Amino acid sequence: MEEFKNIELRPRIAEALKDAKFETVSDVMHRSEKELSKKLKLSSKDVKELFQCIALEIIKTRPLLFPLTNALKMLNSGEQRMLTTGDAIIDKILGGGIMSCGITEIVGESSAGKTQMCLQLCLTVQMPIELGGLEGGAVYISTEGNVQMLIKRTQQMIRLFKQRHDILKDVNLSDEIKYITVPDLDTQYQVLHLQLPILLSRNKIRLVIIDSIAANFRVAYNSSDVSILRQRSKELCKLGTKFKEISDQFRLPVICVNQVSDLFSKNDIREFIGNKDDNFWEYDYYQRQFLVGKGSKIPALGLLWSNMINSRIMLSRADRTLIGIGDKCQRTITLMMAPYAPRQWGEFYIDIEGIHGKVN
Amino acid sequence: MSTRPVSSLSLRPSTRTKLIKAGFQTVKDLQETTLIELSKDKVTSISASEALQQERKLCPISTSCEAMDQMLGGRGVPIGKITEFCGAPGMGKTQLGMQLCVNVQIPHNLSGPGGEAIFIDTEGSFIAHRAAEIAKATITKLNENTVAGDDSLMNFENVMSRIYVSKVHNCDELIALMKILDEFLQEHPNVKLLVIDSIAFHFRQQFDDMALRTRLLNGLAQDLNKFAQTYELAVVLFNQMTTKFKLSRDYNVKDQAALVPALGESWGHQCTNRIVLYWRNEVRCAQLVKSPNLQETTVHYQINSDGFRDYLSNLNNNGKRRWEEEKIIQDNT
Repeated sequence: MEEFKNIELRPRIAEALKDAKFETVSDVMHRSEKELSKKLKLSSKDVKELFQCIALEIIKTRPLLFPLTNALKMLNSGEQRMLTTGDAIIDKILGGGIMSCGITEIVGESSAGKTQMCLQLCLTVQMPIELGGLEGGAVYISTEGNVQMLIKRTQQMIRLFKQRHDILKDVNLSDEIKYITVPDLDTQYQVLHLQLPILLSRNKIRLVIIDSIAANFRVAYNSSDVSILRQRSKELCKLGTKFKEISDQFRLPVICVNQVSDLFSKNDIREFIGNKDDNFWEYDYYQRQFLVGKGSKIPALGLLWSNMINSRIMLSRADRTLIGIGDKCQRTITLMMAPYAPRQWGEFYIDIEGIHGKVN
Repeated sequence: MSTRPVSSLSLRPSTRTKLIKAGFQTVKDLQETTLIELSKDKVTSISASEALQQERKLCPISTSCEAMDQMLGGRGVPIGKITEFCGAPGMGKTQLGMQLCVNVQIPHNLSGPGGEAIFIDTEGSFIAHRAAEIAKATITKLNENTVAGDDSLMNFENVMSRIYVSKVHNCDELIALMKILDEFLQEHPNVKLLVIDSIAFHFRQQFDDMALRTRLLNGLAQDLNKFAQTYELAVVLFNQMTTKFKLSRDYNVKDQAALVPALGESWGHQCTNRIVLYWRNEVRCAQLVKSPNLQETTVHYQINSDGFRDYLSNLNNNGKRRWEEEKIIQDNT
């Protein structure tokens, strides 16, 4: 919050601010011209000048805000490129890959392949730009406390990845992936607001993954009490905003892995009514399009979180009893929503190398 | 102010009489009309070139969806007013925003506004290569109707460079931007469209004090109205949806949540026209829910690789669930 002592103001305006005990820019910006004129006892011309000075000060430190760029410059800068998933077919389904800016959500039931996909992206992000990478490392923030397992799996994939991409044979891929565990909301807050920005400014990192975004929230705010839910909403909003700031500041994609929750409870008779269109105004009607797999599961964290993300990728599997590498169950990846590509889906399988799109 | 009777205005008595005879009772009635209509009512007379100039200045911006253009008054989003589109994620708000940024540039010779656009991005949803795709499709379509060498040929680089973009990260930045936009608009007098995508994002998060939020939104609406009228441009705002609970009386039926536009009741009064975008029966619908002079209607639309378009029922949506619109058929190509 900018304070006035850093801003050059005419003496009588500065005095007026001091007298009225205004300390931060919000004290001014959050009031109307009339109110300020009265409270500061300044003429309307002075108030206008005050607004201008403060606005300019805010803008000085935000290069993306002003001066306005234009779409051609944005296109030619290559800032909004796509990060490849390492598989041409999956890239095609996803409209080119993962957007290199903003928040991309990967959602699905357990064992759908979300973590696998994230680990794969930790490798592809290190590839050169001409091959679809972002030439940087990755930070993998896990709520599950399974870092050892992740490292082992990554090592397995790295060996085969290097075989396929000769250009990386001398690169130490595992060095560039940093794993952080956040077992609860407090640690999560610390890491995201304090440690992560420092880590990002000291290393060439081009990918941040949170696996999963829902876990700590559901534990901490496990209640249907309205005031607790409101608090949860606020915290979720702060989190989303922080991710967008990090994405813009360090020019990298933030991937949030999300879990699923039930659309209908066991006793909900409406589950059987089907898609009657009388209730098209209802939130549930809208949510049906996000049903993952064959059950009544939808992305967790609700509409508020859906409003925060830029893209949503859904992974699902048809048969939940088959587990393991080389399994034969039908797995589907869907680009649910994105500002750059239409809704598309396709099948994939997972093997020792990672995730591959299925050829029909 | 707008309910002030025409009879009290200081005009020539003959003009006053003509206005009243033509049916204009209050100042509000006058605000809704144009010089051309006044001249039709024989209240005043203007030359043909003045009429043409006036027409061009207030030329609405097409959405590329004829049905929606009709719903908005005939030719698209109106100049001088705030039009708000509300929709849940995935409804196509950003797509419409990008389409309008391209369409505002349709030249006068093709009956377009011939202007430039400002896109204020609060969510990080403006993707340049998607805007490029939309621009190329529109340019190709329009250039088909133009003779080569004609001045009104649209050029890709020009179109893209005339969409000005700003990324906003919080409320204070948005408010600050409003304060200095005057200078920018004076330096770029050709800007005819201001898009904010979305107006809701930052205002839904940071406020414990709802009264403050309402005050700020009111101030913002005032600034936007001022821009719309002073600089004769269309202001298009995108709003999110939130849930409003309807408590169920039946023990067996879950409490229902309805989707309603975000930012509350008082915000609902701020914009001139409000349109809600929603899914119904596997089709995208747009309903005009609020307007001082247009009829409440619902139309269908679709979004394809070319951009925002009319919904044509004989297209690929035949019977398939909408989230199976396009399965990638892997082949050997």
